[in-house]
Amino acid sequence: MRMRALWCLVLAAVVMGARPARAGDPMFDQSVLHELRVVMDPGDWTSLQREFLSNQYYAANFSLDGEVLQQVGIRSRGKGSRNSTKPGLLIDTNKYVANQQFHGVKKIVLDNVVQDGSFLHEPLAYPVFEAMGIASPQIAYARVTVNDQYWGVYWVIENVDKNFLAARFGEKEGNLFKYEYVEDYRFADKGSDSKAYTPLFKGESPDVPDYSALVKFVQAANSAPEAGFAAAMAPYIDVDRFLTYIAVENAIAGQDGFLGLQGMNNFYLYQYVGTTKFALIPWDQDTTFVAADWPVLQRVDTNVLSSKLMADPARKQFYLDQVKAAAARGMNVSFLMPRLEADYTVMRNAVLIDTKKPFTNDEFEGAVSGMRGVIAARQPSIASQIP
Amino acid sequence: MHFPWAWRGIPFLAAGVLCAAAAQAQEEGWHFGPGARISRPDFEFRLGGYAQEDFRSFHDYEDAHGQLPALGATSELHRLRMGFEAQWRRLSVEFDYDPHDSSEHLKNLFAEVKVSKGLQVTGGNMKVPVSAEWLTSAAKTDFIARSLLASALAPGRDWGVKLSGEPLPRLSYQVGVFAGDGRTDQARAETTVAARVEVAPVKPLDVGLSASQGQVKPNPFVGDTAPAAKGFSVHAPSGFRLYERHFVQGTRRRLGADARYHPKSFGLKLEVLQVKDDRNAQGSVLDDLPAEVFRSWAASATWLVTGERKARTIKPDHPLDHHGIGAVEIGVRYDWLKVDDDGPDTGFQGAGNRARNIRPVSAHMITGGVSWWPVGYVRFMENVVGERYDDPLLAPVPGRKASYLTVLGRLQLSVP
Repeated sequence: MRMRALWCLVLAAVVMGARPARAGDPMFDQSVLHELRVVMDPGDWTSLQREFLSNQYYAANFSLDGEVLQQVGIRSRGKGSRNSTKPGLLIDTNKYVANQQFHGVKKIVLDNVVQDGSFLHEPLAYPVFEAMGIASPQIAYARVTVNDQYWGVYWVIENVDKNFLAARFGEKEGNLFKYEYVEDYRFADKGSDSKAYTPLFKGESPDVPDYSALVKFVQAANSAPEAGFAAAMAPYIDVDRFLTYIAVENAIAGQDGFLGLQGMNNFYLYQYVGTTKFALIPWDQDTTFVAADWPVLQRVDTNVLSSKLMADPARKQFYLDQVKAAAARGMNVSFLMPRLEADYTVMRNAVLIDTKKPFTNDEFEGAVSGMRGVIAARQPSIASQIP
Repeated sequence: MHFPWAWRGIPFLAAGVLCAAAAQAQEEGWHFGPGARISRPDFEFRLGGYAQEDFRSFHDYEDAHGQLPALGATSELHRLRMGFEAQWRRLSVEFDYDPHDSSEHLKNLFAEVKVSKGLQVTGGNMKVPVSAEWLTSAAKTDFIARSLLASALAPGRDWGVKLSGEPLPRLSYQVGVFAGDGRTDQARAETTVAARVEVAPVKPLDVGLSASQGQVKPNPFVGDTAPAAKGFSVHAPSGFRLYERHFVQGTRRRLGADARYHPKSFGLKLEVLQVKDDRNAQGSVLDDLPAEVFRSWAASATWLVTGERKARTIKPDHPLDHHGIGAVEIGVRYDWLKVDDDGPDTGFQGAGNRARNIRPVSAHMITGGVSWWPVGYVRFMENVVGERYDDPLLAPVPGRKASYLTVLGRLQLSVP
């Protein structure tokens, strides 16, 4: 009987859990500085910069490490990072050419790194999530040129889409929502009309996502009493996995995530096929590693889901254990410092000649040094906060 | 749009009743009921209509996910037209409606006053007179899918006033002013002037010249939402979108020519159409872009192998209900379309909808088909369309120029 239960647990973990294993595609190889070239009408490039708030696509030829794709769509992207001097870019490989893909990818995100003076936050944050079993996008550094003019160092980030879902979750037909920051929202009940949620949870796939389970999830989280809250949430989330997710956020001192300073931000929500269960996928982790002494319980009491779960002492203890685990497995010197130094070696020279970055070279070097300090001091800080 | 078979059967059944009733009614003189015609010396009223059920077997290139999609098949009620024509002395009225076409229920609604043989004044919602093929009823085209120039570039129906007539033997004209060039078309231009002249220098040859001009205004921004582009998009019979709408603004000019030669059972047709859309201030920083130019032509040959005379309406000499085999026609059509800009061919050629230097797109279609009219009001059609694209990158399967085959079938029932 016990063996059966164990097998059921294993099976459930396989079915419901993310697959943290990375696909390991060379385009996301973090150990090299990729060469990404964009060739397009100079007028279009000027337009893209000037109209950086627009999602207007332009045609371009694109190559990554010499591998060429013609007539891809390219547009400005980002939220707070939208920028005319160094635009964030989204490349859509089959915007104009039917079914064109690049290494099995249809969309490539080029993050302009204008909110992280160290150029290190996001590339170091995702490995910590991965170390804790949270599926995260792949990321690498690229030296970007547009019409042979150097435009600086960008992060090449794996888009969270059906390809990502298939690789990490073994399925791709569920509802995928991207959280869009439009207001200070902390999982409050906004009624039973799905239209109240569509600005916040932007449906990514399928073309017409079903919001019904998401609405029920939010309403259940708000209506369920604290007593037995975890059981009430079980149909909607893997509670332990959710607590692990926010534990990692606070372990890496993230200030703009699910427990963000001004409400929820920067994550995807995936609803597994044929279930009402959701998983969180981290996104845009460039405001992490904020401070070594970041409180491990930072803002857990401000969000409906986390605060009600934490009301249960056992859950709170599990959360704290997961923060410690994150520190032990990822947020520590032995795990992150070699990665930091490797990344620094890969991108330093290219960053120093990146005249589009909104930081001076001194600020860049200072930010990298600051990162070294945060990484060195974070695990001891966590240990002191959770004896 | 797909209807369940049970629902789809209803209009066909209704059309069948109309056909049968009307067929019987033809033999007599003064009739009421479905398919009825009332005919008096100074007044005539006639119900009309037809239904088309289409079958299509094709590769759904629009829905492909990284590989050559499987051959799919669909069937749908394509058209369900019903309406009437009435005439009282010099005044006639025509009304056509398609309850099945959600984008444009109202087809024709116009009144016409015949001042003389050389002058008729028409007002209402009607076809803008440019393309010969587009002016041909969808129930009477030689092939199931219209040519690319007719389906993508010809103006549609719109509200307007038209003068027409035959001032001289073998010369006819149509000239009108319309509110636009396609009442429900996303690419609609505003006030459009159109004219068409047809001459028959020798029988049985007809030659037509046509032109139209209108002004296109771009859609406005709604908040931060970018407006939809107002240029033309072009879809091939397979459903593949071979050209995406571009942003246009300014003058839209069409220039067309056509010829039809139809000795006895044969029909030869040639039609050419050029459309030029200005792109004033359509660069992303409101700069002018070179005009977008579509050029297209189609040539076809048909032969009524059962010997009937080639005319707009085919009536079998030996219908099935008189122990004959009906009328059988075979035909072939070649179709070509190219889009480019009229600016210098320098710099980056882009497929984007604001590209300064448009990457040229050109496609060829060859259609072979057979039609069978067992009786005058029933028509079966079978077509095979082969598509070929000059730019392998912008083909349904990148790298493969040809050959993309689509098989089309149609059952058509008409009120005679």
